[in-house]
Amino acid sequence: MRKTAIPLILSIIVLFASCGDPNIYSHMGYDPAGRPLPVETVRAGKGEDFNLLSLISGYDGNIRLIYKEVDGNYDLLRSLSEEGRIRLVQTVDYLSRYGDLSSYLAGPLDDDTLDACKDTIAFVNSIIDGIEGNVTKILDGLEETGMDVAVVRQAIDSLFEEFGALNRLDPETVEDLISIQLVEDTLVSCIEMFYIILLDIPGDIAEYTWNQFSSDGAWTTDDMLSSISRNAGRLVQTLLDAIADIDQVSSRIPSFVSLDEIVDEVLQ
Amino acid sequence: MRRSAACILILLLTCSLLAGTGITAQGRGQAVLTDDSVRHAFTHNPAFITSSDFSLHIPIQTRVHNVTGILGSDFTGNIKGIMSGDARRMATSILDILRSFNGRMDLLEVEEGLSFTLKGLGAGVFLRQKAVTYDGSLGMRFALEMEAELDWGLGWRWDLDNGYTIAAGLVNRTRIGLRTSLVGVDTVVDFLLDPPSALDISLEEDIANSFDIGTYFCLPYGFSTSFVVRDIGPDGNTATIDTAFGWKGSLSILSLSLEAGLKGWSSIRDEVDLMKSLDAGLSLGITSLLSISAGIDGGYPSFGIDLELLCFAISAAWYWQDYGVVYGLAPRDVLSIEIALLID
Repeated sequence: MRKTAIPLILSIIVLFASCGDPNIYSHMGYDPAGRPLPVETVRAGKGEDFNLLSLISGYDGNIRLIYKEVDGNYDLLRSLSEEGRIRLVQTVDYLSRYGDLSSYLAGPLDDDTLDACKDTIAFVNSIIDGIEGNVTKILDGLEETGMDVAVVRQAIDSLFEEFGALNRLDPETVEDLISIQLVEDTLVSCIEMFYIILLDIPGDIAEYTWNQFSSDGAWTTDDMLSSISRNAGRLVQTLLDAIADIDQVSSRIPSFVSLDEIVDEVLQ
Repeated sequence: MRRSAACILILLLTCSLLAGTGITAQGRGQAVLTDDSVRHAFTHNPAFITSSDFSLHIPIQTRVHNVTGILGSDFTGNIKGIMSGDARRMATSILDILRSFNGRMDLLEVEEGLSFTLKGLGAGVFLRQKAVTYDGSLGMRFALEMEAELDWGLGWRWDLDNGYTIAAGLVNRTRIGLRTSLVGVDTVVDFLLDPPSALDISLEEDIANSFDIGTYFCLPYGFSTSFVVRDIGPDGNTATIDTAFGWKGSLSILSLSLEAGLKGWSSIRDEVDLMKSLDAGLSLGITSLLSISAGIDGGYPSFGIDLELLCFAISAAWYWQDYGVVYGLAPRDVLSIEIALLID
């Protein structure tokens, strides 16, 4: 019995030791990120998917890359090499699971990829600057002008226009596509944040659901503003509280913040 | 009166000590194809319908997925937030907990069962309720899945000379599944604000019928082997074949059982399929009251502890499941706790 007890204890210790990365084959050299993927691309129907790109793991083992029906995306995806498509899928998968590019960029990158990333980051930053400006305008507008609906309206209109414009962008590289997806995530996080903040607002704003919002035109700026204008004082305070403690409000804003820092660090 | 009660208790304890300890499959890497326990007759090997002339098994099991992910968030703060009654705090706490769930992942499962075997006949009904998350980079959505499973089976056992035993069994399984439409943050919010509005959720149903056929060969010197054809559907295309080889031995109050096997080996196409198919497990019993288990299922470790007292069994298991688009990319751990009435 002693002869069997010793291997038993050793086995349990080895098993516990492998818990950092629980897959025992990873400790033996298996690299899941290096595996080829059976990928099929599927065009999302109108209003079917809010994402520019998303992934579904099919029960048949195939990966379905769902993309929004925009000519630029379709042409780009169609022209991708198998290697490029796999890289895109892995990246989108990683982003969807972990919300930032830290590991992706921390991995070994060749010079071409690094150059492409530099362009991408400039592209992302230009869009993010616009978004941040718009969010700031909303906050400033509410704080400084209190009930000045015209200021707030203009800012929110710009924010939503920015969102709509993203899907009309013409990506030239895989990195562009990823960047647009990242920015979309960030924008939706902002909207998600607004939605949560709006919980504090009683009345008809609660009637507007996420799905209504995401379908074209159901939640108009006028609808939103009419509620905001009736509850502006409370909204201002809630918004300011939320921004001060943003980590607790949106799950993805911190990733967006860290993305900038990580990218800068990697490229320096 | 007191003396009679004490006698009954001693009798029950003695019976309990003499009976075999059941183990949960999850704690042993699902390596229970040669465990020869009615506990696994409807889940792993139909041949075990004959493991006992009579058995009654009523388990209630709860599984919490992504335990370390949930605990990794501000768990205490989030629980307080959910309990606060404040809609915004509740929503943000729920979102924070859901942060580590991406894509289609199980969140919480509850399973209730009732099964019995009698002289080679067996039947069981199992009910499962599961909350599942969907989507990833954008607003999280989830669905409730409910499943009712009705099983019946037959088994035969032949005890031959020289310590050989052959058992075979067949289980027919009918599953009726229901899934709610996907709900998102908005629905949670709506529910918090106005519960009746959330009742609009539609249901999708799915009915499936399949057979499992299993065999079990008990060999001399504690060795055994099993062979199970699983999920034989109407078209037969989805069937998989599992096989395992095991050994059992005991010394005084200690018992040890080992098993290694291949799941779905008929569909192994490459080394990744092989990694996912291999499982192995061991359990160490200390009297028949307590056993500890460990195993590897598809490359992921598992641990379990089982306590059996009189006709009640309490089991806990900790194991991993992989949700990656590629095997190995997204492992999540699962904590399972089962309380069962088990008479065999």
